[in-house]
Amino acid sequence: MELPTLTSPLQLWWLALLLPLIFWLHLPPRPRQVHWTAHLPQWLLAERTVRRRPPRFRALRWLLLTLAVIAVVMAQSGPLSKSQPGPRKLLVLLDGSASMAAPGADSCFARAIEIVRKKIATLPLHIEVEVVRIGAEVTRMSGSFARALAVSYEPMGELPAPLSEFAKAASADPETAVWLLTDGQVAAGEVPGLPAGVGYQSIGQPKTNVALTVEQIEDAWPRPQLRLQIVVHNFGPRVPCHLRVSGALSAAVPDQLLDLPDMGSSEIRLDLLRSPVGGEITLRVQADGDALASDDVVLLRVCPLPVPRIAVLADDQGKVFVTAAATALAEEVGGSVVDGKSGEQVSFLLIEGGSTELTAGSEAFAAFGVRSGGASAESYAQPTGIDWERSSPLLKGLDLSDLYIQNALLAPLPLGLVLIKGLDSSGASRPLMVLCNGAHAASLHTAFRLQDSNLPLLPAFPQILRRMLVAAKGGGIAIPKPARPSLFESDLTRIPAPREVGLLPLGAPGDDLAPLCLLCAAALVALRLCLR
Amino acid sequence: MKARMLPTMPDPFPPAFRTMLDAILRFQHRIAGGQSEVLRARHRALSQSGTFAGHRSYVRGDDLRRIDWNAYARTGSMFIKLLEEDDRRATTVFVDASPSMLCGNPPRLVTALRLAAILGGLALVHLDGVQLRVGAVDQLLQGRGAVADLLQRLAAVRPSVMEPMDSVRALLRAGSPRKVHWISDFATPATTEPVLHLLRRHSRHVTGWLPTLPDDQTAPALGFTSVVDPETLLERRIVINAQMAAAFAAELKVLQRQQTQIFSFARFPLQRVSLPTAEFEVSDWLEAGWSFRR
Repeated sequence: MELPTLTSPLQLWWLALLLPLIFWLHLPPRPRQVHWTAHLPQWLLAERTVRRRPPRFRALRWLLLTLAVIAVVMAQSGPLSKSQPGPRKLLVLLDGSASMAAPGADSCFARAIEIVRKKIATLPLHIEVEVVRIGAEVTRMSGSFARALAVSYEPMGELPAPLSEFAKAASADPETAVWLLTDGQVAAGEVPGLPAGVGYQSIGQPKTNVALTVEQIEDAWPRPQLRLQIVVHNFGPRVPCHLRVSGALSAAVPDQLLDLPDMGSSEIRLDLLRSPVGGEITLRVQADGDALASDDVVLLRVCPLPVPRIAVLADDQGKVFVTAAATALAEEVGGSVVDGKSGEQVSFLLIEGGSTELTAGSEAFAAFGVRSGGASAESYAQPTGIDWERSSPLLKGLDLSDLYIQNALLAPLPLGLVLIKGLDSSGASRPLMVLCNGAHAASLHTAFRLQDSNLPLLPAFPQILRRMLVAAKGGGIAIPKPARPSLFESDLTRIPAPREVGLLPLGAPGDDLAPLCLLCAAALVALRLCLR
Repeated sequence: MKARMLPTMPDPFPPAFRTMLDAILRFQHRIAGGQSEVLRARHRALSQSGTFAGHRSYVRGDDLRRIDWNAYARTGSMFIKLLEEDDRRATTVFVDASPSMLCGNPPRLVTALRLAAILGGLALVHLDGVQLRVGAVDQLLQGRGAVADLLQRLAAVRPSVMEPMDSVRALLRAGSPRKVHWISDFATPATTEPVLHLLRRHSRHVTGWLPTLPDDQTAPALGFTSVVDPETLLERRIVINAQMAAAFAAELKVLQRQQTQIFSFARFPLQRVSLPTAEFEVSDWLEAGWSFRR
């Protein structure tokens, strides 16, 4: 017979205090006087007459109370019966990859969650539960969160590593029982490699599936033209499939019926006109027997088109050039040229000559030979050694080697990114074009007027204006390419038949014997009270 | 059982008692066991019968009829004729020195020894001698001059356990005088009764002397008391309350009745002697004339 284990053996020190105290309390009182008598028989007869017994040490009552106190102290010291060997922790590795979302509402993932919940409900409280969900990201739950298993998560993405690797790493701890739940897709060839003792349960069934991927996006921003190159994958037998494009489009696109080959794919090119107000463009494929819905839809988030209102401020001498430039820019970006008068709402301003009070970088504008307020109009002739910043997004790929400038202002340009610089007559380097980026807009400043240079005649001039408009609007026009779903996850035909490997028996601590000790103590006290 | 020491016994014969004893012997009190004994003794004295045994000096109070006038004529001094009377020649003082006699304050044994001294002293003065029996010690003393020896022997008495039956058998084997003064507490009537019958069968005349104590009448003070028997050293813890005290007093009365009854059945007198509480009261005690006659 194995003795119980005490979790708080220090409590036994109470016995050293309580047992002598109980013995002392049970000692009968000491007589206050001693009387020598020759009449002891008469005393005994008198005692018998009055039926009175002298106080004496009640050994049985003392024994019962002592046993009761021992039982209480034992209960206080936390006695436990023999424990059952085995792991004290259950680690649940839950496959949270995209394939676990199949086949719809009653998905493998939902069933896996239900299975885990049922299992956890049967576990005793001493078993520590930890749930690791492995999908696009790895999340870990432990304690009461793991037992409650409140999962607001949709399976997505693909596994960062084979589940067997996780299982091997986790099963290194002998105190941990590992339980792997998956649809079996990734574990098809890896289950035999699972370490011994790892519980395994595959839930999924082979399914057919159609997946949609966007391979290429050609955006003509700020113009509305949008070209998409998509591929529809079929993981299953030949099946007809509908492709539907909807959302932020200026012109509706009719549904397309695709005939997907057996375990093949179909590539489609789509020319779309995006809506000027922006929004989401939804691409969706529909096929019979499609098990996984998450890979059937692609959402393209498109921003609004700028549709700029371009205004021109120029004197009579330079107005010809800058107006022509504004008209050409409006045609390029789909905007319009408006009068540069007070109170007019404009989105881009072209200024030629003169002076302005606009702060550099505060608004979207391009100032050609414009002085800031109070600056000198003195200029110098024919700057030489003209060079430009080739790595700048504004001038990247453009050729300005034929740029000729007849006169340039001596007044300094605002501080900013120098795009073009030259040498004055004294040989000093002077900036000729500066880009000033503000918090919400950008402005372009040149030290020369258009009429004093051949810039409007260069082929790079329209590109500079267009890129300036893009830079002045703050960017953010690119359509983010949707994440390409893992075709491995979409291939549900690789899911084998369900398989289950049982868990190792979990360890259990010994039963708490404290209630039994207290019950014994109560019984002993009751028995003692019954004794007279 | 925790070992206990027996109570100590004070000096039984302090100077006050010795003074008192001298007074008793000087007044020449006569010892009498009872009224009938007095009458029989007077009758024997008047009969002038018996064998001449000798003379002794006359002391005041002696019967004038016993004066040997012939001797007075020859010597001019008055002498008393001593006749050889078997039953008046000597007496036996039998003192119970068992540990139970140590009970009381002062102990009952102190009173018993003083009583033995008085009885023995009177016997030495008026009779031929006294046979003193204390425990297992048997001693025959004779003559007036043996009073000091008597006191010395009595003062040397220490408690000893001996059954009264054994002591009496020893007395009978030694041929003790017929008159026996038995001083004891007679705490166990069951053992006293056969002894009395044995003495009766051997034609001994017994006078029982029982020095009484306050504890023979009532219980000690109330409270939780350890009661110890000096004979056996058995201890009993008793809660003495009014009810217990009343029951104990009733048992003591039963004991007294038993003691009186066994002596009556044996046709022996039993004298209960009340003890003085202080030595200077001894003379008053004697003046009370409890059992002495002039």
